Amino acid sequence: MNATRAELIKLVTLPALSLTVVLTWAVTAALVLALDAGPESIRYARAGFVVLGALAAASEYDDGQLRTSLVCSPRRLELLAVKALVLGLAATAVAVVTVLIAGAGDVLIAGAGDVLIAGAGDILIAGAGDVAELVLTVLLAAAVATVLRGAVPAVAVILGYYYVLGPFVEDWLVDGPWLPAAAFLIAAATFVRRDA
Amino acid sequence: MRTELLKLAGLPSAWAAAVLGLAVPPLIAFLNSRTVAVGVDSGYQELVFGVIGVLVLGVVSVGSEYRGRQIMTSLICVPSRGRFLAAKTGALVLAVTLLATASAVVTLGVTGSLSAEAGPRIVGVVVYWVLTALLAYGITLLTRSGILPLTILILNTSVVSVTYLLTRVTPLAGYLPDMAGAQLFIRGLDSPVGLTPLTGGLVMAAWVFAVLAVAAAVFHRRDA
Repeated sequence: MNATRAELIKLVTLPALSLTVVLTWAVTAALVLALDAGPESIRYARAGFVVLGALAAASEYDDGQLRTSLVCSPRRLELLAVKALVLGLAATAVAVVTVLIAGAGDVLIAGAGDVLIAGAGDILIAGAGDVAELVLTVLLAAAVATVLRGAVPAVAVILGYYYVLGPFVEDWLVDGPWLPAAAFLIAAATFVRRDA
Repeated sequence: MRTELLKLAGLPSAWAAAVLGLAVPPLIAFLNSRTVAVGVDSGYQELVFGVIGVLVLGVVSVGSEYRGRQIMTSLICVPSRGRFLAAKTGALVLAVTLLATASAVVTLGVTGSLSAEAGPRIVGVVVYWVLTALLAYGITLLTRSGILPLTILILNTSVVSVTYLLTRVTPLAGYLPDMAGAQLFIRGLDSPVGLTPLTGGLVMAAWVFAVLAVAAAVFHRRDA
């Protein structure tokens, strides 16, 4: 329980993460309202979630903070699991708000602003798949950033896959929950075996 | 300048970026060649996606200096910040020019559109790649972190780019750096403003020059 609380405090006190979340929401709102992008805005919002996961996982590698963390919590698998759990929960909250923003924008554009409150539940039910996808995106980014020990290379790899190469290989490579799961297994294997 | 080239060549991510820039466009061209008929922009369309390699190159060229305070050491060795920036920029331009030329030749070879009259358009590709790398480099110099420029610029390299969405709102978006610059070598570009390759390149160069000027001024005045 202590480890969970510690990870939660580390997560919510990183200024870069708060900034990422706010920017993601702002960009989503701008895309929906100004560009009439609708559901497509979630596709772009995904980039913010990649950055979120990568920064969260890589922040410990900037100045050797990870060594302190491992002194406090020497069981590496346990530390990684707690990190993933806390990050996943936090990401769910951020994703729910993002999907609500995208959905609410659609409702506003459709000219039905007064049913907004009543519609929040409906938007979430319709967007549950999007929420799951965004949370899995965060976990994938965190796993890759753990393996590469840096946020910049992780962001380059995942965004390059999602936005540049992905559309061309989707016939061969079916995206799905297996990808973050596999990435996390690899991350766990490297994290347990290598020097910090 | 030789120091800067050595530093760049010593970065593993720089080599990864070179592999990306060399491999992505021919790969996409190969995948596309099975489904898309050959047209006037075959090969060139795919080269647009290859800029992801030089984006990474531009970002790590500056970004690496700001990891572990290498910038302090660099500035002790070359205290004149103007000369330091000039050498760094020169090294990046040289590396990207080589990479872009090689990638363009390979990609056009895959699509079979390599011929004598492709020359000027290949020059356009090289200019576009160099300017894109410099844009990433300039923004990284301002933010001292590669995350923001990488995210914005990779997102905008995607099949439906944000700037393309913007052109639906205002035709002025056709003057944004990537929309204008793509006219250097893409002939059938879906843009609200038709520019000749030369003016397109000049518009993009003006953007890049503005970003670099601001970044250089900021770099000159602030603590490292």
